[in-house]
Amino acid sequence: MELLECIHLSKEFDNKKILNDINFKIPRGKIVGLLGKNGTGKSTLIKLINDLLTPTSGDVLINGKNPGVESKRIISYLPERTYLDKGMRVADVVKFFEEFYEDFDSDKAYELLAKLELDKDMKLTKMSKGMQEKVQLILVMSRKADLYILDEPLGGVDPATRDYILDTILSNFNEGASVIISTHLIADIERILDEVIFIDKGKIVLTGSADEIRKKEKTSIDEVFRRMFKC
Amino acid sequence: MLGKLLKYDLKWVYKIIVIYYGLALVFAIIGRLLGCIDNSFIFDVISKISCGVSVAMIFNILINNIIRIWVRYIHNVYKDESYLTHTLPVTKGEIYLSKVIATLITMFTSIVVSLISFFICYWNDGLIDFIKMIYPEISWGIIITTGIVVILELLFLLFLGLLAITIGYRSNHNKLLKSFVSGFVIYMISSFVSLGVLFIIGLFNKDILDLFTSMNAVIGMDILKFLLIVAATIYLVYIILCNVISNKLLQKGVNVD
Repeated sequence: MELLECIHLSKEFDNKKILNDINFKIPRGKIVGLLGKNGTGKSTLIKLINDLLTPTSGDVLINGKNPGVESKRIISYLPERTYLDKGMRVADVVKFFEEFYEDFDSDKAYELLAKLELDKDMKLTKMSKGMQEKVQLILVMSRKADLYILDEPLGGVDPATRDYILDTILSNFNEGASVIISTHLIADIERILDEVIFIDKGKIVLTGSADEIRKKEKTSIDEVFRRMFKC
Repeated sequence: MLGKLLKYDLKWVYKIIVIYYGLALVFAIIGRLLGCIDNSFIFDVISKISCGVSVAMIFNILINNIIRIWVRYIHNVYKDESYLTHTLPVTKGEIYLSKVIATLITMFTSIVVSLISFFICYWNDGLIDFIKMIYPEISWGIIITTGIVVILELLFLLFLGLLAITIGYRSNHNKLLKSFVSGFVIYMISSFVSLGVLFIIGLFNKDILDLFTSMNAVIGMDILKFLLIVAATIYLVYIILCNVISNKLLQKGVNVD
């Protein structure tokens, strides 16, 4: 059974198709890049997988089941926006995750917080957006999940921090788990990808092994992306 | 998991309201104590001002309680925080039930604090005599039933708000505006239905029919009791309906921003 499978998945808003007949499978133990320009449907697809949107048609199957309590137990999701209650302190949100997710490792979270010199007693309101995003990434990566879904994890951070974030992802995700990283900053993540899914205007336009695509096209994934989405 | 959700919902609502609880009680006690000092114009004025502030706090508590429940629902279920709420390993039913229980608990404590503050300020034999002078036939039964109807009406408004938000936020645009419109329309429909129910009862009860057909209808205590029981029953049915519909709509899934 595949870890994640999308079957003829479509989503419409006001009769406008945002996603159109999406089909793909993600096995265990892979790092998958969900690549596409802004506004091509990457976040919509991720929201559908996470039960934040209801599909117009088609199915999302996680371990063979539609999104629900079971899938939420095994998916660790980092959205593109800050989703924590700003009135809480960092230690409070760590406790919150500890209470709700059985696979959450608070020791690991505190270790990562210390490495990034983030004060556990600081209120989220007092933190910059970048610091809040780092806290969220730490929370998400401190879970021993089967599937990590990271929506634009490199969006608003400087290049030095991008490397740190990628290292954090690589060195902390659960062995045997899969990771989906949605981004348009391909050059930064190309080195870690096993598979890629190119999405444009709500449709999958290219999918396959990152190595095979590089071999076939005789260039980097970043270059393939640039050629494919040239304005 | 329901208990954990409830804990965070209650924390969020109480965070601010507890301050108003304290203020209402403190000003009520100050007002009462200073009111006990005889022959002092200054203390009498301060006592009256303190009791006035306490009453203002009571209104503040009730309004704030309702608004915070609605705001919490929007933020937690449809706005940024919903990205966390809907990815927790809990059912949508548990998420909604947590809001309902939080509403009932916070409204209960708010009403208790409001009543205590009010009675600290104004309770004395003179008040009872005043009420008996206006309504000579009034009984404790009527007073308590009236209180229950008022509480049920408040709860109906609160749950109507949650239903309106659930309907409004199902659409893709102008969600808040659509919530307001839905709330207004449902309120108007429920008012007409209530009048319709009363009219149908009136077909079997001349005294109630008189309320519709005569300008000089007299509301006796028996009719008042009956009306209060009918009102309480209607509000109870509305509250249940609002919650059943909201929960069903939420179960169908959300479309967060």
